[in-house]
Amino acid sequence: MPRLPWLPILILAGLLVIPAILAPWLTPHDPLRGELLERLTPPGWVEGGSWTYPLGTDGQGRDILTRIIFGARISLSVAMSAIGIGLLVGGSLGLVGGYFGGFIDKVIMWMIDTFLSLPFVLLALVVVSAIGPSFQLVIVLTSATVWAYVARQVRGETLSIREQDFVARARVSGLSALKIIRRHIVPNTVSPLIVVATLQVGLVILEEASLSFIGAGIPPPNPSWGVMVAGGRDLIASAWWVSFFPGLAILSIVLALNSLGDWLRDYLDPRTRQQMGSPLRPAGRTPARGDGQAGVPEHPSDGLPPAVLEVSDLRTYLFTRAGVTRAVDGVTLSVRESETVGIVGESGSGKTMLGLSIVRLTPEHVSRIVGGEIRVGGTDVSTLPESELRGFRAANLSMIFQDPEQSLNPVFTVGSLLNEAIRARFPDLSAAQVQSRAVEALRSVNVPDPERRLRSFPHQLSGGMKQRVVSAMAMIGQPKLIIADEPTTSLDATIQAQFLHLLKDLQARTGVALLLITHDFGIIAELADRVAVMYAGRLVEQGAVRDIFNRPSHPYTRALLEARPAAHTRTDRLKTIEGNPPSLIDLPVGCRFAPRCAYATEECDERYPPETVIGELHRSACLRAEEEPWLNRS
Amino acid sequence: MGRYVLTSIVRGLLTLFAVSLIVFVLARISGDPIAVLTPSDMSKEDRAAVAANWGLDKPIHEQYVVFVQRALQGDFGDSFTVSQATATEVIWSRFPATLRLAGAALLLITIAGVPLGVLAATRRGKWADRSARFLALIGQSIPEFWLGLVAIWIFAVRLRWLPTSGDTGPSSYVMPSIVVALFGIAAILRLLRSGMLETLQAEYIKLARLQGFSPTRIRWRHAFKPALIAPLTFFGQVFVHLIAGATVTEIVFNWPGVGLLAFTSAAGRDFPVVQAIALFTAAIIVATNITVDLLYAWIDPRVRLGGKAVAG
Ligand code: SF4
Repeated sequence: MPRLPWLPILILAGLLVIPAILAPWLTPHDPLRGELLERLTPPGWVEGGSWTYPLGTDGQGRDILTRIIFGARISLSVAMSAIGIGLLVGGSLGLVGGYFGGFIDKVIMWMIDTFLSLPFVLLALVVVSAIGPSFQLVIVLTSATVWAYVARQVRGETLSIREQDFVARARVSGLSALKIIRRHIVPNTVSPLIVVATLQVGLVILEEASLSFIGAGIPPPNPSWGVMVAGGRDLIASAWWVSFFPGLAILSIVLALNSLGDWLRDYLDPRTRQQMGSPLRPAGRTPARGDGQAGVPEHPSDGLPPAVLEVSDLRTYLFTRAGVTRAVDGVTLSVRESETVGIVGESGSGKTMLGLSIVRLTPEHVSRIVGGEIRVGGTDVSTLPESELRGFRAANLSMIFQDPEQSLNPVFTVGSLLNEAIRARFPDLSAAQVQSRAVEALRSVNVPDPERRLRSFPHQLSGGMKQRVVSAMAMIGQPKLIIADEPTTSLDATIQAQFLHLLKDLQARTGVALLLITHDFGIIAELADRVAVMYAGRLVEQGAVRDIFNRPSHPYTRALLEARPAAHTRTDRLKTIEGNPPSLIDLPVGCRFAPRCAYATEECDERYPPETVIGELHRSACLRAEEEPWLNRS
Repeated sequence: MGRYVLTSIVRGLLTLFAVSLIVFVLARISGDPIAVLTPSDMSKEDRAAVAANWGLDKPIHEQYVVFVQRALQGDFGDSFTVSQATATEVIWSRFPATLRLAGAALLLITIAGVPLGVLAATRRGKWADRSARFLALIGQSIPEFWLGLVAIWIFAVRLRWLPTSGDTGPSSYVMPSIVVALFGIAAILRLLRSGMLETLQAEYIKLARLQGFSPTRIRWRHAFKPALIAPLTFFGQVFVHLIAGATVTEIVFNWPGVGLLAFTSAAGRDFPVVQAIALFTAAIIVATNITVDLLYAWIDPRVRLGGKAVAG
């Protein structure tokens, strides 16, 4: 539970709600009639002032504090009326528009847009010059914008809820529209409406004050704060207090409402809920702990290509209010030139954070590499200063993400993106040379009609085509290592196969090392030479693909392989493993898979399993790997 | 694209229609139209002439047609308070002063709001971000009229650094333009900050960083332009608030512009001038909204070129 915003709450209670309710009992003076002899008395602490009138008196000898207290009544009643009308009108129109859609929704949307672009201050003056100011006029004018804001919010909310399964089911089961709205939609619009209403109260108070100030609001002599400021306007040189204090009251209350609204928005929004407030300051690098996973599968130096990437005991933690999330918690791994290494794991296993750590692109303000090394061609990326990192990454590392939609900037053409990337690498090329390189880059990833595609914007390309463009960009710097994080997950099955083929082809041509992050053993089988299985921030098993498939030596790997869909169906989760991965905040001391493991023994809960050598390059972090109890069982 | 522009224009026309209807109805329905449309000291004959002029003897919908026809020609009747001048002439004489103040304020909003918004997003959570957000909170919460008065009290009355009011040379722009701009700065800052925060998390920014582009380039080319897309949709509302703020500010500083004119005319019950200002302002708002729609299409190719538009 985040801390309540006490200051705004106190200001609202003390300056608005309590004075509004208790006004007549809080003050001995009359808000409307003053002592003319006591005109323009300064505040109590100023020379010539008197504590009978703590904040002084105005031009007609009325006590300013009294009028401010009574002014709270006006502000609050205007605000409540406008919000009430706004919620009622805007709420129902928003529900109708969002639920029924179509023409009626268009009309409502148009009304919202129109009302939000009307110059109400000037319309107020029109009304005043025709019929004069009145209390009702203020309420009409202020609620005229409130309803539009409310309607827009409710409409959006209704639209999105309407699309959800439970509403569709309710509709199919023959529930009437009214009932669906009442039962399913209205309750879901409440929390966003609380935010809108809070912010609107502030806006209405501000509007009422402005209208009153220009003579189009609450008619004098009523003690509206805006009227009071206006009353002191010509006295500002001689009696500053007449305008100053009422205005200060407006400012404090609107400020309190706005910050309360912001707080509520963060608090009620499920997306920002976990990351509320500023994160704890990430601690400095801590010395790596040496438990488990120490045995790096040393490559026998028998003329095999050199390692491009050597990660050892890497730890990347996220520092959030909820606690320290050990997303990557001691990973050791290497990838050679021309080699493809797969990382397999469920979502939440830390595999994406592992990929981002290697290129040092983990979320800046919440995460930090707290231990270990990332050597790329011998250079430790994890400690490279930002200034050197930039050039180093450009020359050595590339990445391909899951979502091609998100990977290409929507406002630039493919050509301008490619040109920019080429110019950054080869600043001496002429415009024509850059152009021909861009065409070449697209051709190398089998984009048909490359000249024309250069002029396309990303949204004009299909997902598979976009992913090809992304790989073309990735290849421009002739990187040594490409990290591909679920590169085909969002593509159709046939396009998937084509794209995997393209990656293989690019690797054969350039010798680039590939780190392939995926949840899909099918892709591993097709593309990878070696594979590492990741669970709860650690690699639990690694080895040559053939060995892992033939002789999986960790119960988790076995479960993954068994859960694998027979055909190439697209699934994002591995559904058949029972239970959930542990929270990366409270990790068990022993084997992290123990709660879900069919072969767990007491010892498994006591210490983290050291690596067992199964075969050449094949390692498993399971206490019972040598014993292989799973073989007898089935 | 053609359809998009057309929709934008039709929506603008509908808005103008709504405003004209409000103004018209106010003059005819609420009380005695003759009393609203003529000054109280006018002779009987002159009143009859005005009534005939506006077709007040005809049915109400014909009166509206007359009203619109005349409005389109810029004829809103004669001012009651300024002798020998039509409402339109009075407004035109005041318009330049408003335009100058608006120009100064827009300049301030751009040179302060845009960099502060970008800075706040790139320094998320740091003190620069916190102070920028605090400034935005103040800017959205402070009543302009009061800020103006306090500024006059401090800088003109007490310190005597700046003139109290009116348009009397460069120094007289300082206070009013800052007062008008503060809300705009706050609004742009907030909108741009949230837009930038969103785009900065996009994968294409990560990829741009991997390409080795400089942070400045990434911030201003790769993140800034797409970050403008979302805030632009709110610009119309910000503009309406700015007009309200500018009106109040002109009143506080006795700035000889259209806002002050609206205020004094309303106080003097000079209906023709006030209604003309309201319609005139509505027309400016509509024109701005259409411009913003065009700008939006220019920035976002998905709008400009059609095709499957994907949110975000
Ligand atoms: S160490 Fe124990 S709990 Fe962990 S996988 Fe092996 S058998 Fe299961």
